[in-house]
Amino acid sequence: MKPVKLLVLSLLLLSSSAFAFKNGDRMMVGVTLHPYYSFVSHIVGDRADIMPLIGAGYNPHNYNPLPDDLKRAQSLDVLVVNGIGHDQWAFEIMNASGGSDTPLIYANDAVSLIPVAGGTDDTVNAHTFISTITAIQQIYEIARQLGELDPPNSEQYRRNARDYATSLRRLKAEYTQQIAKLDASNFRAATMHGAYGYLMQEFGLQIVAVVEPRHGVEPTARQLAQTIDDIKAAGVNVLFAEKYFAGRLAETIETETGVKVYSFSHISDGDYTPERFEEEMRYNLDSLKAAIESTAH
Amino acid sequence: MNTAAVYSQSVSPSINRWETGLLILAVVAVVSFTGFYAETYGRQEKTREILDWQVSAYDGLQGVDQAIYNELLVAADEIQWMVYFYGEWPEDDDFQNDLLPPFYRDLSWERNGSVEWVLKNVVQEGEAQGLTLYHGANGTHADQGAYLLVIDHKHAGGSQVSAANIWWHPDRFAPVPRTSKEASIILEGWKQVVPYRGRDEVERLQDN
Repeated sequence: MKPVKLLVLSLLLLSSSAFAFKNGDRMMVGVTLHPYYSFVSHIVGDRADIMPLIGAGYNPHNYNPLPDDLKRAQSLDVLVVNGIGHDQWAFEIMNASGGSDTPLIYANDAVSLIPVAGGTDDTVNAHTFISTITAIQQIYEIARQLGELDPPNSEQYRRNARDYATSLRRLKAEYTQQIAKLDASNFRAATMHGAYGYLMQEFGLQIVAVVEPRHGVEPTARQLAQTIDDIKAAGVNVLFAEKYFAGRLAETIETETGVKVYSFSHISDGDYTPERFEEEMRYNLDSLKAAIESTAH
Repeated sequence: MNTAAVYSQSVSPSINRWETGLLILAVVAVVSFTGFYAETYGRQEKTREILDWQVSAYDGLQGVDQAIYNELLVAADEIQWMVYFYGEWPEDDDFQNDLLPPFYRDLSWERNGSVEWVLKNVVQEGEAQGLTLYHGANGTHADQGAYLLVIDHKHAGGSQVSAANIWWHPDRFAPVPRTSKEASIILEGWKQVVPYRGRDEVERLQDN
């Protein structure tokens, strides 16, 4: 082969590998929810960039897309989604931005789902990101699929995912030691939001009732009255309200039934940071521990 | 003083029968549509057809069984990654070092029935590569079952597909199956656990 041809071919190869992604040689990974920001941060380390699809401080249950979201969507090489009912607005944004061809990583692809615990029907619980077990499963799925899109870094993504999974298992083990020692025989819990079934399951605990009749929908006066009756009948003694979407309902229920009110974090507010998932999980586990202690004989 | 005669007459609507007929027709139409909609998009869509020798992880397993199944599903993934990184099948020491549930013996393990786990490597006749079984039994909860994680060596360490199968037996003392052939496992009363996965829910949401 002539030297000129060789040079041209080499340049072509170099340019194709240097600009494999929209913004050059670094993949831009979009995420829809706070936990996915933490997961992806740990998986990619310093080898890719991450961008939340929507700004911080919005309630993901009733989000309405904004013009800035479209700009962000256009710059993504891939988007990590929950996909099972918690971020359906992401599909609207991607379609509206002309990014319907952007690859999507469905983090829950391999996760075994459960119904909303204590709910009135068998609606799928979309909150797989509020538990260490199902979080680890999603971390592996995301790492696997990111590796397919970015083969040179695939090995590193796998290693990072494993290290992160180990640190999450340590977190769980730390609290298991504390929670499992407590007397939970008198613990009867209700939650405002049907989000915490996976979290409770990994500690062998049950949710007796959920106040919201449907995901993200507040109960009517009649439904609330029925829930109060159900809570009294089931002997519920603890109610977990929402850390970020606090309403006055919890106070009403506390007054009417005498339950003790604690709160859980839905992990969907505040700044997007790599540490957010672990910080909020610690908050949840501290809250769970305090609630069980309060019911112990 | 004026006096006026008062007449009273009942007047029937001229299309009385038609209105009643139309109302009945409308009610029948609404009920039929609702029935059709519920049948098409209702809860049945959320579970695949479960065969006699299978059990649904979504609404077939309960409590401890469902929790251990979910842990096993993650463990199956982790075990294959451990094989990929270390080139060996992890044993009990590895599980204790890595705190991997449901094998890691902590208080959560105790709460889930202190299930005893045994690793068994099996090579079937005529095959160069075999299977690895993790058998869990003798749990302390009367209403829990026994568990079997089966991993096909051909896929272990691969990056694409998890070739793990998880089986459940209603008898918590069920022994390790005599052979690892599927038919034999089924004949010994084991049921393959079928999850309702995120990808199934995504398909359902996209179809709707």
